[in-house]
Amino acid sequence: MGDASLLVAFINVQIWLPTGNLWCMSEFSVALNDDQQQIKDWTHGFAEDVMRPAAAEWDEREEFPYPVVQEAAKIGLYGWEFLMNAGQDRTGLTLPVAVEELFWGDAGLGMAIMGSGLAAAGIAGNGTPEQTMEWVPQCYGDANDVKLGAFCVSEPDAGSDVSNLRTRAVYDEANGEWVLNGTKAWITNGGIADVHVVVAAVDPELKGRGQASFVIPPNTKGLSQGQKYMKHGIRASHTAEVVLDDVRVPGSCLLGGKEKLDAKLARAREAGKSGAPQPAMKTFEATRPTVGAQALGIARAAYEYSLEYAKERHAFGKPIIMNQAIAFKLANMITEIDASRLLIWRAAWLARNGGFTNAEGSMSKWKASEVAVRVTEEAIQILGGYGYTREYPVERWHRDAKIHTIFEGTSEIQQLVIARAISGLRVE
Amino acid sequence: MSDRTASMLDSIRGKARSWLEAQWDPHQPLGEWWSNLAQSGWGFPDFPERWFGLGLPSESRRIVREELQRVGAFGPPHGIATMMVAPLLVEMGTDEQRQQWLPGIVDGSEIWCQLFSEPDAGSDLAGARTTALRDGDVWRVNGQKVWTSGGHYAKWAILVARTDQSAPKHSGLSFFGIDMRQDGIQPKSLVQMNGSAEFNEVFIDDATTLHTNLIGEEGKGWPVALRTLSYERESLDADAEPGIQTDLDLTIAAGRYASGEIPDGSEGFMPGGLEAWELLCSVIAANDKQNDPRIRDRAVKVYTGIKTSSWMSQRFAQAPEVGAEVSLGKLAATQLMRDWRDLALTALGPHGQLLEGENTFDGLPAQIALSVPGLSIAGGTDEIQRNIVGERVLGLPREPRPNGD
Repeated sequence: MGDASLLVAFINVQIWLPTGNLWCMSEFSVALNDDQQQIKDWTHGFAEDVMRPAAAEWDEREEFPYPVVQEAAKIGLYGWEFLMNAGQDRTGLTLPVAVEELFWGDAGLGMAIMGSGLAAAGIAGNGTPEQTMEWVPQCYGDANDVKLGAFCVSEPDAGSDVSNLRTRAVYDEANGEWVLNGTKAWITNGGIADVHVVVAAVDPELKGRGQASFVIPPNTKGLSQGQKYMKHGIRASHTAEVVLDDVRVPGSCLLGGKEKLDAKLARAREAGKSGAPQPAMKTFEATRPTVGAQALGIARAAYEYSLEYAKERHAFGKPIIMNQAIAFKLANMITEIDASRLLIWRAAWLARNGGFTNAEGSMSKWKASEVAVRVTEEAIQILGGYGYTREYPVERWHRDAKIHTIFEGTSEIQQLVIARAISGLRVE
Repeated sequence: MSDRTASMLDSIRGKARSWLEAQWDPHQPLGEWWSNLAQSGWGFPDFPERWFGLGLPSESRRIVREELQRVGAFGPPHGIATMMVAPLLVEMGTDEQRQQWLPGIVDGSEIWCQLFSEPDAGSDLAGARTTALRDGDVWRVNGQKVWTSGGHYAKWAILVARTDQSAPKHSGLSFFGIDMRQDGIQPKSLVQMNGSAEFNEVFIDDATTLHTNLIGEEGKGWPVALRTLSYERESLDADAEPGIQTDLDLTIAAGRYASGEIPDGSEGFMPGGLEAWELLCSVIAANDKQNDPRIRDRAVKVYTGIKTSSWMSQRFAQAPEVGAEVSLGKLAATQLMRDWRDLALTALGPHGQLLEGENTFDGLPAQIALSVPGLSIAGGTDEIQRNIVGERVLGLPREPRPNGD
């Protein structure tokens, strides 16, 4: 299960959350330091040697790729230790750099490797140190016995709107247990995970401020998988509904503890509002640069592949890149990719060095995800008919890209967040 | 439109309506119904009377299509054979070729495919390397083709092959009809992005075709190929029906295809024109986005595109001769479907990523999204269309031709 002292460091680092003034500010630089370069090379090697060769098969099978995740666990890429190491980087760049490489390898497999991280983040961000030490390792297991975590927020009728959750958590004082009922939708690893972290409404009238997060331990009665989604992209990543039918968990499964929750609810009721962000929103906001990095990896894969193709493919007696119609596409693709990376790195740095001021996390996710959709479609166009077949990988990258404009806040939501941040007004 | 033209079209509509009301019988086997349509001339009213038509203007096709829909009748066979081969034979074939091939085309009993593109000659079609060498009364064909829709069930193919290696590249090509069902021709399906496998690679190893199957003159296949492709582009506009005729069972009652009870092969293709608009409206309404100003703004843009495309195709249909302008129609229709896709997926949110399940409209928008990138490639890429428009519509200087011909 790993070294407990490292876990404590993990708790303190809280890598997924804006840490503000935990450390002194680090310099922002686009030149990677030795450690970052080493992690980039290491993840790239895994992406190239293990993920790329397996990508088409798992996309076709549309199953959770346990063997690939096990390989990732063997080298320490799948596990909380990796996140903790990334979190120790004060610049915040290590995680987006590594994620870009993983998703360059394959988005479906990358999502399978990263999926448990959201649950771990939900636990570390909201739980006590003891809860984090108990549950985060169980989201990963080890190379011999891989475990999965699932972070359950979205619901069938509330995808981007996480302030109106219908899943209810009611405290049964007599037994000291929480009882959860509801349905969660679009859950990565939903139903197949060992540890589910569920965000539920304790006091629905308080909307987002009346919510709390709960750990649902393995094999808890009443938790089941609903429909598995047959997606057109990231198909190696398992996505399903999670049904909670009178799920009973001990009081100790409330992340942060009851005392803290009661105090929070009391404050919210008394003031009518609370300065504290909602648990789910807090996680989403800080993970957006990482989601942007996922899209960036896909876009770069498509760009690199189509660039090589355009140099090698001859038509009308010359390489097709010698036509401005193709060359300018590629020039546009790399410019947009580089612009996305700069936005992502800035946002990742801000998350660790003073926090966002103008929704820079949303900017980075919006830009990179839209760029990934456009770049991958252009890559298909450059490859022509071959690009449209499953004989070549670019069509898969296009299928994988689109979801990044939707999950963790659609492009429309990102624009809303940015508009509110720059105006100080509640633009609807 | 002049009063005289309007009056003529009204007259065509009246005659078509009378004939269809009298003849359409949903219980009739599909083969008999198609034969009936072909023999009457109402299946292809713009063909000459001698060749299964009525000698009417091309606008009559749209009118007949509307009247077919009015009575709920199943339309005539529609695919490469009727869309490309039949008009080509009418325009450039010999009487012997018309007698040999048109009957099987118009009654849907013989499906055709096209053997044009090659692994190293897609957009650069004139770079084809597949050879046809004369051997007495036959031509012996060797090479490899790709993007052959329906090649795994077609009976016949139109073929572009190099018959003169020494001639400049555009001059050394000839155009043939060739029997697909022979040992020397082996199709292998390619799986597309949308999961279907309509296209094939076709390996040709010493296949033969009769000299009498040469369409146009030997060594002058390039203009024949260009003419054929212009028929295809004309039919890829927003109003068009599906372009690929699938292998339908001709003994089944036509009404079962007309009602959608039995799939007619058009399911994987884009809805056209107002059908696409109606689906989009349903998607927007089902997701309660009809009052979102950004969605409304984009919806108006799509509707404008659909109507403009429709008018453009009507203009082509009325034109005495259709030239390179059809490339404008194809470009517009491709962009229109991109806009349609982007808006539908925005309205659907995550459900637009699903191929089945609730609120997915049977996965149709997701299927369309997976098919849209193929539109700007099939039938000549957007880049090639723009070259055509630049050179042949706008009269801009030609692209440099490295081979100098």
